[in-house]
Amino acid sequence: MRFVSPKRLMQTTLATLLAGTCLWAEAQSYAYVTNQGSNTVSVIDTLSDKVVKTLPVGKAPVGVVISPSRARAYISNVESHSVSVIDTQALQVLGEIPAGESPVGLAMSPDETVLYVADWFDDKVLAIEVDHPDTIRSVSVGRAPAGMVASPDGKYLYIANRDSNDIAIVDTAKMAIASRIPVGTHPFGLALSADGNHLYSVNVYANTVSAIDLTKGRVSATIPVGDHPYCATVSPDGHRVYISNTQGDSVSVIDTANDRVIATVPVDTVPEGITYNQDNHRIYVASWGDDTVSVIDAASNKKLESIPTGKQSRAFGQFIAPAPH
Amino acid sequence: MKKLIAIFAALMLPLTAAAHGPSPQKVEKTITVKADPAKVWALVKDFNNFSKWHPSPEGAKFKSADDADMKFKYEYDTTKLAFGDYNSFLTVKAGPGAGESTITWVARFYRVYRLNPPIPAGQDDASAIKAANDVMDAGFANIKKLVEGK
Repeated sequence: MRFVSPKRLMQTTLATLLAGTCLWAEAQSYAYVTNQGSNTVSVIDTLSDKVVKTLPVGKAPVGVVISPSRARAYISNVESHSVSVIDTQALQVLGEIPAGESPVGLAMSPDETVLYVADWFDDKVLAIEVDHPDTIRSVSVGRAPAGMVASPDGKYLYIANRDSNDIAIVDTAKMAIASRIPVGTHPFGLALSADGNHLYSVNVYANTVSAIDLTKGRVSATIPVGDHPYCATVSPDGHRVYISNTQGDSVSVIDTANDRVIATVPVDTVPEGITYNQDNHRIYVASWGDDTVSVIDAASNKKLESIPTGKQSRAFGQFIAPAPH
Repeated sequence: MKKLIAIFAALMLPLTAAAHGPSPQKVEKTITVKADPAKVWALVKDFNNFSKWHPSPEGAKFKSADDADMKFKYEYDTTKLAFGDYNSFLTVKAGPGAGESTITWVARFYRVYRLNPPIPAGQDDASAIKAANDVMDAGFANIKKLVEGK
Protein backbone atom coordinates (compact mmCIF):
# COMPACT_ATOMS: atom_id res chain seq x y z
CA MET A 1 0.00 0.00 0.00
CA ARG A 2 1.41 3.26 -1.06
CA PHE A 3 0.42 6.58 0.49
CA VAL A 4 -0.67 9.20 -2.00
CA SER A 5 -0.68 12.76 -0.71
CA PRO A 6 -3.65 15.04 -1.51
CA LYS A 7 -1.21 17.30 -3.38
CA ARG A 8 0.03 14.39 -5.45
CA LEU A 9 -3.55 13.37 -6.16
CA MET A 10 -4.34 16.90 -7.34
CA GLN A 11 -1.34 16.85 -9.62
CA THR A 12 -2.39 13.48 -11.04
CA THR A 13 -5.94 14.69 -11.61
CA LEU A 14 -4.67 17.83 -13.26
CA ALA A 15 -2.29 15.85 -15.45
CA THR A 16 -5.13 13.53 -16.50
CA LEU A 17 -7.32 16.54 -17.33
CA LEU A 18 -4.53 18.13 -19.32
CA ALA A 19 -3.85 14.89 -21.15
CA GLY A 20 -7.56 14.71 -22.03
CA THR A 21 -7.52 18.28 -23.35
CA CYS A 22 -4.50 17.48 -25.50
CA LEU A 23 -6.22 14.44 -26.96
CA TRP A 24 -9.28 16.48 -27.76
CA ALA A 25 -7.11 19.12 -29.45
CA GLU A 26 -5.40 16.33 -31.45
CA ALA A 27 -2.34 14.96 -29.69
CA GLN A 28 0.91 16.08 -31.17
CA SER A 29 4.47 15.65 -30.07
CA TYR A 30 7.81 16.94 -31.24
CA ALA A 31 11.04 14.95 -31.27
CA TYR A 32 14.34 16.73 -30.66
CA VAL A 33 17.18 14.86 -32.39
CA THR A 34 20.82 15.86 -31.81
CA ASN A 35 23.05 15.68 -34.88
CA GLN A 36 26.66 15.23 -33.78
CA GLY A 37 28.11 15.83 -37.27
CA SER A 38 26.02 18.90 -38.13
CA ASN A 39 26.00 20.62 -34.71
CA THR A 40 22.23 20.94 -34.96
CA VAL A 41 18.98 19.62 -33.54
CA SER A 42 16.33 18.31 -35.96
CA VAL A 43 12.81 18.98 -34.65
CA ILE A 44 10.38 16.33 -35.93
CA ASP A 45 6.62 16.82 -35.86
CA THR A 46 5.39 13.29 -35.06
CA LEU A 47 2.00 13.92 -36.69
CA SER A 48 3.59 14.27 -40.11
CA ASP A 49 6.88 12.52 -39.21
CA LYS A 50 8.77 15.32 -40.92
CA VAL A 51 11.52 17.67 -39.77
CA VAL A 52 9.83 21.04 -39.24
CA LYS A 53 12.86 22.96 -37.99
CA THR A 54 16.63 22.58 -37.72
CA LEU A 55 18.21 24.48 -34.84
CA PRO A 56 21.94 25.32 -34.54
CA VAL A 57 23.43 24.26 -31.19
CA GLY A 58 26.97 23.73 -29.82
CA LYS A 59 29.65 21.29 -31.00
CA ALA A 60 29.02 17.52 -31.12
CA PRO A 61 25.56 17.59 -29.48
CA VAL A 62 24.58 14.27 -27.91
CA GLY A 63 22.16 14.35 -24.95
CA VAL A 64 18.57 15.58 -24.80
CA VAL A 65 16.16 16.18 -21.95
CA ILE A 66 12.81 17.93 -22.16
CA SER A 67 11.06 20.08 -19.60
CA PRO A 68 7.50 19.96 -20.97
CA SER A 69 5.66 22.23 -18.52
CA ARG A 70 8.28 24.95 -18.90
CA ALA A 71 8.52 24.43 -22.68
CA ARG A 72 12.26 23.83 -22.72
CA ALA A 73 14.58 21.27 -24.31
CA TYR A 74 18.16 20.98 -23.08
CA ILE A 75 20.92 19.70 -25.35
CA SER A 76 24.40 18.64 -24.17
CA ASN A 77 27.24 19.81 -26.45
CA VAL A 78 30.14 17.58 -25.47
CA GLU A 79 32.80 19.52 -27.40
CA SER A 80 31.54 22.98 -26.47
CA HIS A 81 31.41 21.99 -22.76
CA SER A 82 27.92 23.46 -22.63
CA VAL A 83 24.19 22.89 -22.67
CA SER A 84 21.99 24.61 -25.28
CA VAL A 85 18.56 25.75 -24.11
CA ILE A 86 15.71 25.50 -26.62
CA ASP A 87 12.33 27.19 -26.26
CA THR A 88 9.98 24.44 -27.48
CA GLN A 89 7.12 26.88 -28.01
CA ALA A 90 8.99 29.33 -30.24
CA LEU A 91 11.33 26.59 -31.58
CA GLN A 92 14.31 28.83 -30.94
CA VAL A 93 17.62 28.46 -29.18
CA LEU A 94 17.66 30.76 -26.16
CA GLY A 95 21.34 30.35 -25.37
CA GLU A 96 24.09 28.14 -24.02
CA ILE A 97 25.07 27.54 -20.42
CA PRO A 98 28.51 26.25 -19.34
CA ALA A 99 28.25 22.65 -18.12
CA GLY A 100 31.50 21.03 -16.97
CA GLU A 101 34.23 19.49 -19.11
CA SER A 102 32.38 16.96 -21.28
CA PRO A 103 28.61 16.92 -20.80
CA VAL A 104 26.96 13.78 -22.23
CA GLY A 105 23.91 12.41 -20.37
CA LEU A 106 21.14 14.73 -19.15
CA ALA A 107 18.23 14.32 -16.75
CA MET A 108 15.58 16.61 -15.29
CA SER A 109 14.09 16.69 -11.80
CA PRO A 110 10.34 15.89 -11.96
CA ASP A 111 9.52 19.44 -10.76
CA GLU A 112 11.62 20.66 -13.70
CA THR A 113 13.78 22.98 -11.59
CA VAL A 114 17.08 21.04 -11.64
CA LEU A 115 19.00 19.91 -14.70
CA TYR A 116 21.41 17.02 -14.11
CA VAL A 117 24.46 16.81 -16.36
CA ALA A 118 26.78 13.79 -16.50
CA ASP A 119 30.38 14.90 -17.02
CA TRP A 120 32.07 12.04 -18.88
CA PHE A 121 35.70 12.96 -18.24
CA ASP A 122 35.41 14.45 -14.76
CA ASP A 123 33.37 11.49 -13.47
CA LYS A 124 30.92 13.86 -11.85
CA VAL A 125 27.27 14.71 -12.07
CA LEU A 126 26.33 18.38 -11.93
CA ALA A 127 23.00 19.64 -10.62
CA ILE A 128 22.20 22.97 -12.27
CA GLU A 129 19.30 25.15 -11.07
CA VAL A 130 17.57 26.00 -14.34
CA ASP A 131 16.43 29.41 -13.03
CA HIS A 132 19.93 30.15 -11.68
CA PRO A 133 22.40 28.35 -13.96
CA ASP A 134 25.31 29.66 -11.85
CA THR A 135 24.10 27.59 -8.91
CA ILE A 136 25.74 24.25 -9.48
CA ARG A 137 26.15 21.39 -7.03
CA SER A 138 28.10 18.27 -7.94
CA VAL A 139 28.83 14.72 -6.84
CA SER A 140 31.58 12.31 -7.89
CA VAL A 141 29.85 9.17 -9.10
CA GLY A 142 31.92 6.61 -11.02
CA ARG A 143 33.99 6.42 -14.18
CA ALA A 144 32.43 7.82 -17.35
CA PRO A 145 28.88 8.55 -16.16
CA ALA A 146 26.49 8.28 -19.11
CA GLY A 147 22.71 7.68 -18.96
CA MET A 148 20.69 9.19 -16.11
CA VAL A 149 17.09 9.32 -14.96
CA ALA A 150 15.38 10.79 -11.88
CA SER A 151 12.88 8.89 -9.72
CA PRO A 152 9.25 10.14 -10.10
CA ASP A 153 9.37 11.67 -6.58
CA GLY A 154 12.64 13.43 -7.40
CA LYS A 155 14.45 12.01 -4.37
CA TYR A 156 16.88 9.88 -6.34
CA LEU A 157 18.92 10.12 -9.49
CA TYR A 158 20.03 6.90 -11.19
CA ILE A 159 23.31 7.05 -13.10
CA ALA A 160 24.92 4.46 -15.39
CA ASN A 161 28.70 4.54 -14.88
CA ARG A 162 30.02 3.12 -18.11
CA ASP A 163 33.51 2.31 -16.98
CA SER A 164 32.64 1.30 -13.40
CA ASN A 165 30.01 -1.24 -14.51
CA ASP A 166 27.48 -0.07 -11.97
CA ILE A 167 24.46 2.13 -11.38
CA ALA A 168 24.97 4.86 -8.78
CA ILE A 169 21.88 5.94 -6.86
CA VAL A 170 22.27 9.54 -5.74
CA ASP A 171 20.27 11.14 -2.95
CA THR A 172 19.41 14.40 -4.72
CA ALA A 173 18.80 16.41 -1.50
CA LYS A 174 22.30 15.63 -0.22
CA MET A 175 23.90 15.17 -3.66
CA ALA A 176 25.60 12.08 -2.25
CA ILE A 177 25.72 8.44 -3.30
CA ALA A 178 23.07 6.45 -1.46
CA SER A 179 23.98 3.07 -2.98
CA ARG A 180 25.42 1.28 -5.99
CA ILE A 181 24.07 -1.64 -7.98
CA PRO A 182 26.54 -3.69 -10.08
CA VAL A 183 25.31 -4.42 -13.62
CA GLY A 184 26.81 -5.87 -16.83
CA THR A 185 29.92 -4.48 -18.52
CA HIS A 186 29.68 -0.93 -19.87
CA PRO A 187 26.24 0.32 -18.89
CA PHE A 188 25.35 3.30 -21.09
CA GLY A 189 21.63 3.99 -21.56
CA LEU A 190 19.05 3.89 -18.76
CA ALA A 191 15.26 3.86 -18.80
CA LEU A 192 12.75 3.88 -15.97
CA SER A 193 9.17 2.59 -15.90
CA ALA A 194 6.49 5.24 -15.29
CA ASP A 195 5.75 3.85 -11.79
CA GLY A 196 9.43 4.33 -10.92
CA ASN A 197 9.88 0.70 -9.82
CA HIS A 198 11.75 -0.81 -12.75
CA LEU A 199 15.04 0.49 -14.06
CA TYR A 200 16.68 -0.91 -17.20
CA SER A 201 20.42 -0.62 -17.75
CA VAL A 202 21.81 -1.24 -21.24
CA ASN A 203 25.21 -2.98 -21.02
CA VAL A 204 27.15 -2.29 -24.23
CA TYR A 205 29.96 -4.85 -24.01
CA ALA A 206 27.89 -7.55 -22.31
CA ASN A 207 25.17 -7.39 -25.00
CA THR A 208 22.61 -7.50 -22.20
CA VAL A 209 20.03 -5.43 -20.35
CA SER A 210 19.95 -5.52 -16.54
CA ALA A 211 16.38 -5.26 -15.27
CA ILE A 212 16.58 -3.71 -11.81
CA ASP A 213 13.80 -4.05 -9.27
CA LEU A 214 14.15 -0.78 -7.36
CA THR A 215 11.75 -1.88 -4.63
CA LYS A 216 14.34 -4.55 -3.75
CA GLY A 217 17.41 -2.63 -4.90
CA ARG A 218 18.82 -5.43 -7.02
CA VAL A 219 19.02 -6.84 -10.54
CA SER A 220 16.03 -9.12 -11.09
CA ALA A 221 16.92 -10.32 -14.60
CA THR A 222 19.77 -10.11 -17.11
CA ILE A 223 18.32 -10.17 -20.59
CA PRO A 224 20.44 -10.99 -23.68
CA VAL A 225 19.73 -8.49 -26.49
CA GLY A 226 21.47 -7.57 -29.79
CA ASP A 227 25.04 -6.60 -30.65
CA HIS A 228 26.45 -3.58 -28.75
CA PRO A 229 23.16 -2.33 -27.29
CA TYR A 230 23.10 1.34 -26.31
CA CYS A 231 19.84 2.95 -25.23
CA ALA A 232 16.42 2.01 -23.87
CA THR A 233 12.85 3.28 -23.63
CA VAL A 234 9.85 1.87 -21.73
CA SER A 235 6.26 1.88 -23.00
CA PRO A 236 3.94 4.01 -20.80
CA ASP A 237 2.15 0.86 -19.53
CA GLY A 238 5.51 -0.68 -18.59
CA HIS A 239 4.84 -3.86 -20.60
CA ARG A 240 7.54 -3.35 -23.20
CA VAL A 241 11.14 -2.13 -23.23
CA TYR A 242 12.82 -1.23 -26.51
CA ILE A 243 16.61 -1.45 -26.90
CA SER A 244 18.73 -0.01 -29.71
CA ASN A 245 21.54 -2.35 -30.85
CA THR A 246 24.26 -0.18 -32.40
CA GLN A 247 26.14 -2.98 -34.15
CA GLY A 248 23.11 -5.18 -34.72
CA ASP A 249 21.34 -2.38 -36.63
CA SER A 250 18.16 -3.43 -34.84
CA VAL A 251 15.82 -2.78 -31.92
CA SER A 252 15.13 -5.57 -29.40
CA VAL A 253 11.60 -5.59 -27.97
CA ILE A 254 11.43 -6.96 -24.42
CA ASP A 255 8.25 -8.27 -22.84
CA THR A 256 8.57 -7.27 -19.17
CA ALA A 257 6.11 -10.00 -18.06
CA ASN A 258 8.82 -12.62 -18.57
CA ASP A 259 11.88 -10.41 -19.31
CA ARG A 260 12.43 -11.93 -22.75
CA VAL A 261 13.03 -10.49 -26.21
CA ILE A 262 9.88 -11.12 -28.24
CA ALA A 263 10.91 -9.33 -31.45
CA THR A 264 14.01 -7.93 -33.13
CA VAL A 265 13.19 -5.11 -35.54
CA PRO A 266 15.72 -4.24 -38.28
CA VAL A 267 16.29 -0.45 -38.38
CA ASP A 268 18.72 1.99 -40.02
CA THR A 269 22.46 1.71 -39.33
CA VAL A 270 23.94 2.28 -35.85
CA PRO A 271 20.76 3.05 -33.88
CA GLU A 272 21.41 5.09 -30.73
CA GLY A 273 18.84 7.23 -28.83
CA ILE A 274 15.36 5.70 -28.61
CA THR A 275 12.03 7.03 -27.30
CA TYR A 276 8.47 5.73 -27.14
CA ASN A 277 5.94 8.31 -28.31
CA GLN A 278 2.71 7.71 -26.44
CA ASP A 279 0.65 9.94 -28.74
CA ASN A 280 0.92 7.61 -31.74
CA HIS A 281 2.39 4.47 -30.14
CA ARG A 282 5.45 4.60 -32.31
CA ILE A 283 9.06 4.21 -31.28
CA TYR A 284 11.59 6.68 -32.66
CA VAL A 285 15.27 5.70 -32.86
CA ALA A 286 18.11 7.89 -34.16
CA SER A 287 20.47 6.18 -36.63
CA TRP A 288 23.96 7.61 -36.33
CA GLY A 289 25.15 5.61 -39.33
CA ASP A 290 22.45 6.67 -41.81
CA ASP A 291 21.62 10.20 -40.59
CA THR A 292 17.98 9.28 -40.06
CA VAL A 293 15.37 8.46 -37.44
CA SER A 294 13.68 5.07 -37.87
CA VAL A 295 10.02 4.89 -36.84
CA ILE A 296 8.64 1.61 -35.43
CA ASP A 297 4.97 0.73 -35.00
CA ALA A 298 4.47 -0.62 -31.45
CA ALA A 299 1.49 -2.79 -32.49
CA SER A 300 3.24 -4.68 -35.29
CA ASN A 301 6.90 -4.27 -34.22
CA LYS A 302 7.72 -3.25 -37.79
CA LYS A 303 9.72 -0.32 -39.08
CA LEU A 304 7.34 2.09 -40.83
CA GLU A 305 9.69 4.68 -42.28
CA SER A 306 12.95 6.61 -42.07
CA ILE A 307 13.07 10.36 -41.46
CA PRO A 308 16.20 12.12 -42.78
CA THR A 309 17.92 14.25 -40.11
CA GLY A 310 21.28 16.02 -39.80
CA LYS A 311 24.56 14.11 -39.76
CA GLN A 312 25.30 11.45 -37.14
CA SER A 313 22.05 11.68 -35.23
CA ARG A 314 22.34 10.47 -31.62
CA ALA A 315 19.42 11.77 -29.51
CA PHE A 316 20.72 10.33 -26.24
CA GLY A 317 17.83 10.58 -23.77
CA GLN A 318 14.02 10.59 -23.88
CA PHE A 319 13.73 13.08 -26.71
CA ILE A 320 9.99 13.44 -27.43
CA ALA A 321 7.60 15.84 -25.69
CA PRO A 322 4.21 17.45 -26.30
CA ALA A 323 4.25 20.06 -29.05
CA PRO A 324 3.64 23.70 -28.18
CA HIS A 325 0.03 24.87 -28.30
CA MET B 1 61.49 -2.27 -10.37
CA LYS B 2 60.99 -3.55 -13.88
CA LYS B 3 58.77 -6.26 -12.49
CA LEU B 4 56.74 -3.67 -10.62
CA ILE B 5 56.23 -1.63 -13.78
CA ALA B 6 55.12 -4.77 -15.61
CA ILE B 7 52.55 -5.51 -12.92
CA PHE B 8 51.38 -1.92 -12.96
CA ALA B 9 51.09 -1.98 -16.75
CA ALA B 10 49.13 -5.23 -16.59
CA LEU B 11 46.77 -3.69 -14.05
CA MET B 12 46.29 -0.54 -16.10
CA LEU B 13 45.69 -2.28 -19.40
CA PRO B 14 42.10 -3.44 -18.95
CA LEU B 15 41.03 0.03 -17.83
CA THR B 16 42.55 1.94 -20.71
CA ALA B 17 41.37 -0.66 -23.21
CA ALA B 18 37.85 -0.22 -21.91
CA ALA B 19 37.45 3.53 -21.83
CA HIS B 20 37.18 5.92 -24.74
CA GLY B 21 36.21 9.47 -25.62
CA PRO B 22 32.64 10.68 -25.63
CA SER B 23 32.14 11.18 -29.37
CA PRO B 24 32.40 8.37 -31.93
CA GLN B 25 33.95 9.43 -35.23
CA LYS B 26 32.73 8.49 -38.67
CA VAL B 27 34.34 8.11 -42.08
CA GLU B 28 32.31 7.15 -45.13
CA LYS B 29 33.80 6.62 -48.59
CA THR B 30 32.50 5.38 -51.92
CA ILE B 31 34.27 4.02 -54.98
CA THR B 32 33.07 2.81 -58.38
CA VAL B 33 34.83 -0.19 -59.93
CA LYS B 34 34.52 -1.71 -63.39
CA ALA B 35 33.39 -5.19 -62.33
CA ASP B 36 30.12 -7.03 -61.79
CA PRO B 37 28.63 -6.70 -58.29
CA ALA B 38 28.65 -10.50 -57.89
CA LYS B 39 32.40 -10.58 -58.45
CA VAL B 40 33.04 -7.68 -56.07
CA TRP B 41 30.76 -9.14 -53.42
CA ALA B 42 32.45 -12.55 -53.69
CA LEU B 43 35.76 -10.90 -52.80
CA VAL B 44 34.52 -8.56 -50.08
CA LYS B 45 32.40 -11.10 -48.18
CA ASP B 46 35.06 -13.83 -48.05
CA PHE B 47 36.97 -13.27 -44.83
CA ASN B 48 39.64 -15.75 -46.00
CA ASN B 49 40.55 -13.13 -48.61
CA PHE B 50 40.43 -10.22 -46.17
CA SER B 51 44.21 -9.81 -45.96
CA LYS B 52 44.40 -9.59 -49.75
CA TRP B 53 42.69 -6.21 -49.76
CA HIS B 54 42.64 -4.81 -46.20
CA PRO B 55 45.84 -3.06 -45.04
CA SER B 56 47.26 -4.13 -41.63
CA PRO B 57 44.62 -6.88 -41.30
CA GLU B 58 45.83 -8.21 -37.92
CA GLY B 59 43.18 -7.69 -35.27
CA ALA B 60 40.22 -7.70 -37.65
CA LYS B 61 37.27 -9.87 -36.67
CA PHE B 62 34.53 -11.06 -39.01
CA LYS B 63 31.02 -10.07 -37.89
CA SER B 64 28.58 -10.83 -40.70
CA ALA B 65 28.08 -11.08 -44.46
CA ASP B 66 24.54 -10.58 -45.72
CA ASP B 67 24.08 -11.81 -49.31
CA ALA B 68 20.66 -10.16 -49.75
CA ASP B 69 21.96 -6.68 -48.89
CA MET B 70 25.55 -7.40 -50.00
CA LYS B 71 26.69 -5.97 -46.67
CA PHE B 72 29.87 -7.13 -44.93
CA LYS B 73 30.60 -6.16 -41.31
CA TYR B 74 33.80 -6.44 -39.34
CA GLU B 75 35.41 -5.23 -36.12
CA TYR B 76 38.98 -4.09 -35.93
CA ASP B 77 40.99 -4.20 -32.72
CA THR B 78 44.41 -2.85 -33.60
CA THR B 79 47.03 -0.91 -31.69
CA LYS B 80 49.03 -0.14 -34.84
CA LEU B 81 46.77 2.63 -36.11
CA ALA B 82 45.56 5.89 -34.59
CA PHE B 83 42.05 4.73 -33.68
CA GLY B 84 40.23 2.38 -31.30
CA ASP B 85 36.87 0.60 -30.96
CA TYR B 86 36.69 0.44 -34.75
CA ASN B 87 33.53 -1.05 -36.19
CA SER B 88 32.88 -1.00 -39.91
CA PHE B 89 30.85 -2.25 -42.85
CA LEU B 90 31.05 -2.32 -46.65
CA THR B 91 28.12 -2.56 -49.06
CA VAL B 92 28.22 -3.43 -52.76
CA LYS B 93 25.61 -2.12 -55.18
CA ALA B 94 25.17 -2.46 -58.95
CA GLY B 95 25.90 0.56 -61.11
CA PRO B 96 26.06 3.38 -61.97
CA GLY B 97 26.96 1.91 -65.41
CA ALA B 98 26.46 -1.59 -66.78
CA GLY B 99 29.08 -3.98 -65.46
CA GLU B 100 30.04 -1.52 -62.73
CA SER B 101 29.76 -1.69 -58.96
CA THR B 102 29.60 0.96 -56.26
CA ILE B 103 31.25 0.08 -52.97
CA THR B 104 30.46 2.12 -49.86
CA TRP B 105 32.64 1.79 -46.77
CA VAL B 106 31.55 3.21 -43.41
CA ALA B 107 33.53 3.11 -40.16
CA ARG B 108 32.69 4.15 -36.61
CA PHE B 109 35.61 4.49 -34.21
CA TYR B 110 37.12 6.56 -31.40
CA ARG B 111 40.36 8.43 -31.03
CA VAL B 112 43.26 6.74 -29.19
CA TYR B 113 43.56 9.15 -26.24
CA ARG B 114 41.10 8.09 -23.58
CA LEU B 115 41.59 10.58 -20.76
CA ASN B 116 41.01 14.21 -19.94
CA PRO B 117 42.25 16.87 -22.38
CA PRO B 118 44.86 18.15 -23.30
CA ILE B 119 45.09 15.47 -25.97
CA PRO B 120 48.60 14.43 -27.08
CA ALA B 121 49.50 14.99 -30.75
CA GLY B 122 48.67 12.02 -32.94
CA GLN B 123 45.99 10.70 -30.58
CA ASP B 124 43.21 13.17 -31.29
CA ASP B 125 40.06 12.91 -33.40
CA ALA B 126 41.77 14.33 -36.50
CA SER B 127 44.52 11.68 -36.34
CA ALA B 128 41.94 8.92 -35.94
CA ILE B 129 39.94 10.20 -38.91
CA LYS B 130 43.08 10.40 -41.05
CA ALA B 131 44.08 6.83 -40.14
CA ALA B 132 40.60 5.54 -41.05
CA ASN B 133 40.74 7.43 -44.36
CA ASP B 134 44.16 5.89 -45.11
CA VAL B 135 42.84 2.36 -44.44
CA MET B 136 39.94 2.92 -46.82
CA ASP B 137 42.05 4.49 -49.57
CA ALA B 138 44.52 1.59 -49.49
CA GLY B 139 41.76 -1.01 -49.17
CA PHE B 140 39.78 0.45 -52.07
CA ALA B 141 42.89 0.54 -54.27
CA ASN B 142 43.50 -3.15 -53.54
CA ILE B 143 39.89 -4.14 -54.21
CA LYS B 144 39.89 -2.20 -57.48
CA LYS B 145 43.06 -3.93 -58.63
CA LEU B 146 41.76 -7.38 -57.67
CA VAL B 147 38.28 -7.13 -59.24
CA GLU B 148 39.26 -5.25 -62.38
CA GLY B 149 41.92 -7.93 -62.88
CA LYS B 150 44.50 -5.77 -64.52
